[in-house]
Amino acid sequence: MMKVRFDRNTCTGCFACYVACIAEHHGPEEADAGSFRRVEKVTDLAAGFQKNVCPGCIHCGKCINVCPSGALYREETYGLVLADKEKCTGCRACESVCPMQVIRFDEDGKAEKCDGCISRIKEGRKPACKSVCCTGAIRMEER
Amino acid sequence: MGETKIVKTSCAVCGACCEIDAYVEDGKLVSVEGAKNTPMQEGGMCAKGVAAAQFEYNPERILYPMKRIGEKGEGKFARISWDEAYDMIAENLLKVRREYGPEATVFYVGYPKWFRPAMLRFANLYGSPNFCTESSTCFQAAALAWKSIYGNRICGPDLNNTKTLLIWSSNLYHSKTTTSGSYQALKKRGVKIIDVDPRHTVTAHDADLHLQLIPGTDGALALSMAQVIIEEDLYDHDFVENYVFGFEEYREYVQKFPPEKAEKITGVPADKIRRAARLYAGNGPASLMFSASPIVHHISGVQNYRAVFSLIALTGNYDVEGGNRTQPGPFSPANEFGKVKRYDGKEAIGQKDFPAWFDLPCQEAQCTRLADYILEEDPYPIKAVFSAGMNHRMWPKPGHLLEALKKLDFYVNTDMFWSDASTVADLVLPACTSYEREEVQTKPGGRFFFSNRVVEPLGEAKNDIEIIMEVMKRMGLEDEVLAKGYDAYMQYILEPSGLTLEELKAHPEGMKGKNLYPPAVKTYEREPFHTPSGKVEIRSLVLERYKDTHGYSGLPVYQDFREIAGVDQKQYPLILNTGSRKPQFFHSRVYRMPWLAGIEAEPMVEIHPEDGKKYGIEDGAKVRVVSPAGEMTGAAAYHVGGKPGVVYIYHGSPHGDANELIGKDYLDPISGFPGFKSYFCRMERV
Repeated sequence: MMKVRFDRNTCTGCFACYVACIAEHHGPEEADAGSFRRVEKVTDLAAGFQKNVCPGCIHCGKCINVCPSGALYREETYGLVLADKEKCTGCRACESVCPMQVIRFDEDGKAEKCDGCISRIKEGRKPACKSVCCTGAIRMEER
Repeated sequence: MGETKIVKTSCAVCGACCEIDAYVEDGKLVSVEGAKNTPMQEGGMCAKGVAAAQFEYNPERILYPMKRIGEKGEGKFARISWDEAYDMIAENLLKVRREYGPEATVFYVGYPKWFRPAMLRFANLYGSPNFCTESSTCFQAAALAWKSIYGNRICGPDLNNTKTLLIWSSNLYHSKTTTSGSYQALKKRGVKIIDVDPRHTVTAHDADLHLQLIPGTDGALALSMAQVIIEEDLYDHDFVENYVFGFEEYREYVQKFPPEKAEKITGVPADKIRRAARLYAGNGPASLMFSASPIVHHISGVQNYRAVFSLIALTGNYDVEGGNRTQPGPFSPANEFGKVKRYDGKEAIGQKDFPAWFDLPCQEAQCTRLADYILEEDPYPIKAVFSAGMNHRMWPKPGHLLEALKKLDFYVNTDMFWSDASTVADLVLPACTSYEREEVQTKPGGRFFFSNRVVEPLGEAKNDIEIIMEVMKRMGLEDEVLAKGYDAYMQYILEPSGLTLEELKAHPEGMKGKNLYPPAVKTYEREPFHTPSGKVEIRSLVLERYKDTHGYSGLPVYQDFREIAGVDQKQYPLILNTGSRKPQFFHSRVYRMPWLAGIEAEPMVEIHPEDGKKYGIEDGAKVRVVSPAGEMTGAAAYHVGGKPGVVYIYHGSPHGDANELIGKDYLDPISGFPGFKSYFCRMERV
């Protein structure tokens, strides 16, 4: 089973994971395509320091516990948390508990989220975000 | 879905040329990963590189040779054949040479840079001294500052052996993202890191000591560090006595910059200046990580950088293990880059204005004032420009250059994209991306890499060098190296290394050259420095040649831009800094990639919240920025990482280019580099 970590302290806000996520899930013609990661501004006023970080899903499963329709589930092979849009009723309960705030909703209000790049993992590759990260801020461990 | 192929190639979105594993399905580029187990690369990538598909398949790609059919600048073009295009170029360039002389044609290379030597060969054989590149506003001034002191090419830091690293204005996490791991490894090894940067960047955040100076005051800071090092007797007496020219005058001059005085100029607390000086001079070996442009994008940039570079000699950290070294790793020779000399039998553009540029030769002319030279026909008429990757947004007042380009008799540009500089051309030619061509690359450590073609060229795009070869053929210009075709050319590059093209192709992971020379130290003990005095010239005899005519000083004197700019700072109370790196941009090239351009608002005007309150501009509000040279509007973004009083805008946006705010004559008198990073402005609510 995979355990995904994101270290906000190590993240330098280079946006590589943010863009890698878009590139993995969309074709180049999709100009408006979004990332399953998000950009968050972190400010330390006293230190006069500010940076961006790009948090993504850590597959903790908190969203599964609150989903009334079973649209969010943990797949068995790698333990990744996936969204089944067909089942989603758009109640947004998942959004309220997501510690990383990375569940988004499509035009019909259905939940969409990081799929852990499961198709890449099946091919023996690392998830797109992890593969580009130059600082070690995104880590994946077997648990 | 077809089979997936993984092909070794390289990214050329920026100049770093990171090695890439490209995933190709049914002839399409579908995915990229950073190459692993490659020196300086640990498999990661940056935001720009990983958006490769949107670069390769961008709707703004130029696909066919296109000839202007409307008025100049109107943007109306018609497709023609390559044959017609080649004939049109040959006819026009020969005509200009016949009527105005060869110097009337300027040969220009923007991005990418890999075919510069081939273009230089073309210019030489045509007989024009005017081979120019985008280095007229990027990096070359840093090289000039270095060469004026040490007489050779810039020596990088020996990171493997250094104990203290002085990073002078490089936010490498964002400008050289793939080296992030190497930077972190230094910290883990216990290397002390001093970072000099006007902003509290992520790179500065990870340093042991951050000197947050006012942009453009680098010289005063470096001279002050020297003052401490000399006063506290922390300098290397042996090296200075034996190898440094001008030390006594320098020692005397730096006395003007005790830390308390430097604090007033630079904004860096005196105590921090002392600590930095003691650490750099006392915890050796120490090395300096240089940056391409931030220090020389000031009107006192060359002298400021000379003051910084002088610290290396002062502390004896030149060409020693862990210092700045001529050859920190193994080395294998190659042809072309740095080997082709520019034809200098005629006066080049920029030569009268910036003579030291030519005395410390970088084998290219200085074209920062290209627009003036075209419009004023001074020093002589410029009637044609043959360029590849022309990007007017690399210049201050880019619109001025665009207008000048329209005045030419003949202007042809080869590019991958329909840039604004292409739409004013008479003829536009489609260039291959790095994914569409083959290239032999020389790498650090005596290594060579063959960058494969991974997809077929889009439309009728061609490799830049093959275009140059064919144009020369049509003009009857036979260069002994270029005439033999592209494969022979790649073999020629490799020849001194002892490798053949065939064996390099058979080793996709790259190969070390067979003629491999070991790392070197203290090369100065075997041969003198290549300067007029044969020593390290803290006092430059080359610069002193132009004391009377151009006012250059041999010593790395500090002149404060706020005093010499001649701008009314009551009217323009804020310092304007354009082009400091953002991780998602590279000049103007990637604004056309929505995955990157959409990350943040652009153009983004980064201001300190205190200034926001002072001028009534809220975070996210629309703001007008006005300088003595122009104005633009953008989105204000509060950023506490910079100091109050300084405005930061990334340049090159088609929606408001910050470089339009920089005066065209606001230049460093030695290098001709624009003062992009310390001009003046005010802000207004919109």
